[in-house]
Amino acid sequence: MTARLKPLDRLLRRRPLAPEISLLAALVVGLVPTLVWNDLQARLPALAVTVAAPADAPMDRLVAALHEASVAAIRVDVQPVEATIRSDLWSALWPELQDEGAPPHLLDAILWPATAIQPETLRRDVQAAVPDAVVEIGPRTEPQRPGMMVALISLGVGSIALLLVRTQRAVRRVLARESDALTLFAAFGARPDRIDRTLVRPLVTRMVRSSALGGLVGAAVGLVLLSANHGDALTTPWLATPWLQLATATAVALGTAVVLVRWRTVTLVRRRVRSALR
Amino acid sequence: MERAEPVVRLRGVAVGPAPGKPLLEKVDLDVAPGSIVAVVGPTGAGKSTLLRMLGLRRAPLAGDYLFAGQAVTDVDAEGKARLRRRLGLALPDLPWLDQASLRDNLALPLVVQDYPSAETRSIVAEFVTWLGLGDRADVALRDLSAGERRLVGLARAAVTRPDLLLADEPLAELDGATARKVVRLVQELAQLGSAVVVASAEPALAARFGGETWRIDDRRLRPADAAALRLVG
Repeated sequence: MTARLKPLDRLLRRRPLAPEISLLAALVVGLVPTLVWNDLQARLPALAVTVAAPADAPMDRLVAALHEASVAAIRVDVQPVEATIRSDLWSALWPELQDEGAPPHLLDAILWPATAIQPETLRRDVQAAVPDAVVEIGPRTEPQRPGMMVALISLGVGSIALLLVRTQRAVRRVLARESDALTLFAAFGARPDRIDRTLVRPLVTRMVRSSALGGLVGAAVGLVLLSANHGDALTTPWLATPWLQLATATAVALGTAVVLVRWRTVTLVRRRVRSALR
Repeated sequence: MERAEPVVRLRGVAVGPAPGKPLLEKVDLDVAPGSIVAVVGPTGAGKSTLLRMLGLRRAPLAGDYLFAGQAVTDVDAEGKARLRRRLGLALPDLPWLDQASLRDNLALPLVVQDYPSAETRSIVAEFVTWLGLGDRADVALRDLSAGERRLVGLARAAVTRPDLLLADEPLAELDGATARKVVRLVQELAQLGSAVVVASAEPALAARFGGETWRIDDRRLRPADAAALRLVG
């Protein structure tokens, strides 16, 4: 009786994926949406809206009207001006009117991005809900957050560097495990293309698959986290462009991670094979 | 009668671990098909290094090495692979697939050289029977004894019926009966036309193969005194 011969993959006890490469690729690609998002926020201007309404106007209706009129914005921060500040403002600006009644309601709102809002439409919509409201609209530059950007960029660059280093180590570890097979293949006269087919390509495929899988998971997590934090974004028509930017940036990051891992793997493996065949 | 072209021809060859540190110099040697050459010498004299060079696992430091009429230093990777397919290596520095079975280890040279599966299975079965390890053919190689592994190593080198078989200390760690079996295998291969080079620190062990013996002495490889070897044996 002649037993079946085991396939080489089983003889070499290959694992299909390199988990640390997946994890790092996920980190690298997951960071990209956050970085791009922060960049978008810094680059796109916001609108500063101040709404004043008579003291007898219902405040909740005013807030609701402002929200309704700003549905196209991703971020709507509405802050009623505090009563004491409002009172001080009232007495400072119109001291002679102080006795005529309570100071009017004041709302400060920041709507981002400005491109999503038509100021006249906003004014009309708010005034349609609260006819006596006075609406002031002006540009507002979103405050930069250099500290956070620097931290995020450092994290991104660090992760890419780590990805390269870990790729190198992972390839060396796998090569050390498969070194015996490589030595034997070379000693038994395997042709270079056979070595390429049997040892090099499976290793490269495994590393590429690991980085691609990790990158996809990272991208999905990054995008889901963003959309969860900015729930309206997906339903807003103007967002086609920023989301397209996010998707493009994520795809580029994914491609970069895969290409970097592939390049490093191929370089290291080919070097080792050349030395075995010398 | 016309003499067959030697499988191995060395002219002025130097071998050693690194340039400038030769263990052997000015080696001139011809090994004809079907002949057995035993190289003897003390430990560290350069026997294994010479065998590694003959097995294309190390380049000569100087001189010309012609394998089957071809200068090995002139061939590219593809050409070297072609030459290596004509070699059988039973060298201690050649690794094993430790977790793989005896059968799979024996099959590896045939698989690498693209033998058809049926032929591979049949050759492997033949050698498993020769080894007398039929009941342990599927045991992982790491579970075999050192002596058994040495025996399997020789079988692995012989499965492709190579033009040149290189065996380093093939009789070490073997009992009398097994050693006789190894000697018989080597002689049978030689009868089938393979050239064989064995290395041993023990002249008596080397003499058992019955071929010509060369001794390493003062960095030179010289034909040994046959009479002296017979006395030692």
